[in-house]
Amino acid sequence: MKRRLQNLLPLPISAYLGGFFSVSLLLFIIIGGWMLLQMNKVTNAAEASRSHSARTEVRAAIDKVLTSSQEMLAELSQWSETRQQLRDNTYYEYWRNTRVLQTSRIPHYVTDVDIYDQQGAILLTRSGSSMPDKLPDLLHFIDIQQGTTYLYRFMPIVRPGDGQRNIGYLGLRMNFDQALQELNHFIYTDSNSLGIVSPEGARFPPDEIQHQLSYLPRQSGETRKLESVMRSTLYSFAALAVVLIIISYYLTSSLLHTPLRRLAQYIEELRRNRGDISKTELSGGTLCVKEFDMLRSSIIDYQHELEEMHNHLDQKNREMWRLAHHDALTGVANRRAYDEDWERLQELVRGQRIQVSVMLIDCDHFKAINDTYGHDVGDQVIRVIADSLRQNLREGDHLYRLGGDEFAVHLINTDTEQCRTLAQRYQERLSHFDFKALGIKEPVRFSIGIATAEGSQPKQVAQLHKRADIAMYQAKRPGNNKIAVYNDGMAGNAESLLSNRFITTVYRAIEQGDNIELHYQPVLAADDAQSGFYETLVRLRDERGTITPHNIFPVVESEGLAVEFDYAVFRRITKAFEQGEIPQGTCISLNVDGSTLMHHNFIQQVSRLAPFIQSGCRCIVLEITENALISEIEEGSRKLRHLREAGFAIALDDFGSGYSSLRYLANMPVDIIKLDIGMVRDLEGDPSQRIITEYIAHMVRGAGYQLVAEGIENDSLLYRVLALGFTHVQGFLFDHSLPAIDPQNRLTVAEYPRNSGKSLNRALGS
Amino acid sequence: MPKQVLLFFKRLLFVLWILPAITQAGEISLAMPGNLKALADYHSGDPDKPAVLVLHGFLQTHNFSTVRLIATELADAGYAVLRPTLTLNIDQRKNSLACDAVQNHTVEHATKEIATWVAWLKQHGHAHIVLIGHSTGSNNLLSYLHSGPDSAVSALIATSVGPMQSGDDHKESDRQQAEARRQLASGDSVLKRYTLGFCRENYVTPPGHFLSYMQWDRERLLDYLRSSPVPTTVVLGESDKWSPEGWRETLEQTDIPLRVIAEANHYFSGTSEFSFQSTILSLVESADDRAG
Repeated sequence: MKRRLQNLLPLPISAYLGGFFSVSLLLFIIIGGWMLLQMNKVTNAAEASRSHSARTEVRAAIDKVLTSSQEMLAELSQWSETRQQLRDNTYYEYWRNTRVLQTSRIPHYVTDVDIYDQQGAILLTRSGSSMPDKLPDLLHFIDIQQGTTYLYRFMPIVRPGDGQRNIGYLGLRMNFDQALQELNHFIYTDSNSLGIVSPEGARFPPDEIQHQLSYLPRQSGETRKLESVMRSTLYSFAALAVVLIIISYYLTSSLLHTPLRRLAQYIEELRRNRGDISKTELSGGTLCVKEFDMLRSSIIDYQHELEEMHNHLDQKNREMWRLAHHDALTGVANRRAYDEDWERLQELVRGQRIQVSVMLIDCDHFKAINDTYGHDVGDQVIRVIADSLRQNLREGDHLYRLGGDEFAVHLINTDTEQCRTLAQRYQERLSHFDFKALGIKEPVRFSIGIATAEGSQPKQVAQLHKRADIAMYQAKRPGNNKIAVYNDGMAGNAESLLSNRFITTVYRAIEQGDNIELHYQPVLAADDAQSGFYETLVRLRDERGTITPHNIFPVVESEGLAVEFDYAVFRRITKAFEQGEIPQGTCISLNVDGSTLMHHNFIQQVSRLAPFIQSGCRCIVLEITENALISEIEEGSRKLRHLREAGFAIALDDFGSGYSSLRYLANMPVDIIKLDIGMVRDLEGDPSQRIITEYIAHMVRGAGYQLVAEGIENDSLLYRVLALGFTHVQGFLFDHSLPAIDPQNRLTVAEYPRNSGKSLNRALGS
Repeated sequence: MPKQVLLFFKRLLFVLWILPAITQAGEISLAMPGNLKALADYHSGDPDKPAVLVLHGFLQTHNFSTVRLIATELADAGYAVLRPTLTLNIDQRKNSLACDAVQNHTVEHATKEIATWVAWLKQHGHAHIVLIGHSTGSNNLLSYLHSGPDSAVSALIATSVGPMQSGDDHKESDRQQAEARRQLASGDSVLKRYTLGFCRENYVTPPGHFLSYMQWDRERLLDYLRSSPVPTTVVLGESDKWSPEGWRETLEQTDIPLRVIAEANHYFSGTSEFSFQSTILSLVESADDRAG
């Protein structure tokens, strides 16, 4: 019921008003009816009271007539002149007619009087007399004659002082109706209604007279007046109520309902006109109720404010949309715009034989530039890239900054070759920019990945970004020309990047560490003057086999797990020490990511390895990339110094691959420099590059650092580095990564067995 | 001194003797001729004093005020007083009779009743009786006296006495009397309306009865007064308007003892009441003295 009622709501005000007035009318009818009922009750009660009073009054009146007749007859019978007639009735007629009937001795409604002797015979017989000649048996009776009620009464005449001797009788006839009227003043009885119901000639005792009389109660003037006043009041009240209801309805309708309806129509029209006040008019002219007019004005004012607010919000929305869809630094569309546009583009080309391409561009080693030269320089580089790409966009191409130094371009109706040409143009224009003007001394290079698909192949279209990313990753690889177009051969590598399998395994390694396998690659001392050591290389193991670093670290990097992963490796090496996996007296090195170095808990975590450092021998080497160290050189140096003091040896890994400045090197608390494999290879390449490498080797060695040459894969290169004074060598010429350390092997070039069968093309593990 | 003591005791004994008689008073009835009973008020008094019979006037009763006035004064003076009511041929009449009532009585009827009452007084030990009549009552008493009164009657005091007349118009009176006589002569005894005394044209009586009263004209009355067998004194009110014109002067011209009460009306009411009472008392006392 309540729910049905709620379903009816809201109701229009006319329904409430109608209900209100209906209820009012109903209440009035009920009250009026009740009042009428009460009035009738009062009237009936008054009627009953009047009837009772009339009955009592009539009875009293009858008694009065009877008593009066009794007294009258008694007085007349005791009258001496009456007795005189019994002695001598010579002048009886005179006595009866003159002395009795024609005097005021008896009232005029006594129509006849006669005296009877002791034997009951009338003293004087008269023809046509209404009195009986003989004394009747019933001395007291009512007789109906010619529609008139007569009372006959007879009484003995007693001689006083003579033993109350009955000397005769006296009788009279009285007009009962007249006597009743004249002897009584009726208050409660309508005297005009008094009448006898008995038939003509009826005769009965006087005590039955009341039953033979008909009469009506007198309508009390006060009661009638009161009833009249009450009825008049009720009718006036009814009329007044009806008038009030009509007036109220009119006033409510004109002052409340109509203005509200007009306001509601106005608001509805305003809504239809989308809040345009200029197009909306209030029907029916001005509202006559001030409050409603104020409400209308308020609505208009409010609508004005709303409109202004709406415009402001529109503007803000546009701005927000622009901010949300554009990169604040470069002004080009951002990642959100990219995603939305990409969704629309997919829909647009779905099922169409339209070539769709995604081109991803990023700056190689941008992080190093950012870290080395500061964010301001990094931002300028980003702006340069954006400006350059924007200026070289074709009509209809869209440029997006996806984040950091990564840019993307959507290309339509552009085949692979055209994409490649465009990419080359981008690269060429970017290379023309003088980055040295920004203070960047190193060359700035850009990698571009391209993926193309036809709209009729929606699945492939959906994979375009991923594929372009893979291609860009490929483009970054050494030896590539920095522009790569995706092909299916890249899919394997790509799969490894984002494989859930790898992610799961990495997380398991961090959480449990039981799937971390340590492999060891020997770093051999050039001569006996130095100690060789093993570089620990990480492999992960799952049900499907072993996962190599080039599948592990992209996950670690993409998931931001570098610190946690390094700490897991620390724990695993500690375990290897504890379990003798790393034989006592064996020196090892382990790689530390730059973010791990900067982590606040780094010292504590790495110190768990300190107990395995043998006194007098820095046999645990921490390999830090130069970029990691340079980015936070002061903090990093402070921590490394602390670790050196604790007995650790510090190696600067991949030296020469990044942008580390040689001037920082002197301040770096490092013991070993591991020259980048590219520079080592340069020893066999371009003479100028070889010379630079040689000079660097000399300089490092001259500064007293131990110098490690990575990527030694053949004897020729071995000899060259040994000749240049490298203290350690490392490469497939000697061994791949080993699952276990053979304590029998001596870690010197001269004594470690060679592995000449290895391919030079295999990538290094770290 | 012994004489004074003796006189005191004699008076004391008299008072003790007379006291019950004085207190004996009340209404009595007495059978009258014609199977009637008449009512009276009797007040016993000093047996040594004469009894006084006080008779009311025309159509009145013994309770008429003037009669009561006289009776009271005399009773207070120790006289036995009888106030009878003439029946006027109505058994045990108690009330005054209206003029238009059936006047079925005559002066002769009254004379007989007076004789009956006098006899009753005498039977009750009153050796001396003084008669006092008021107005027509005096005429009735004179009628009684001339019909042969009892020897016990010693005096008559006729107050407001006057001739019976039928109005002031003598001619009309004569006409009525003549008509009555004619009717009586023709044996007509139907009731007629006459003027008699204060009843003006409404005295309803048979002609004979009317004439019995009308016999008491001025001459007859003077004659009866002069020839009264007992000492008779007339007492008139100086201002008696019911008294026929020149009646008092007529009396004054006679040797009939006459007392005129100054300023008194026919009924001696008002301020003349005391003077009337003292006059009556003195007259009764005088009669007592004469009788004694």
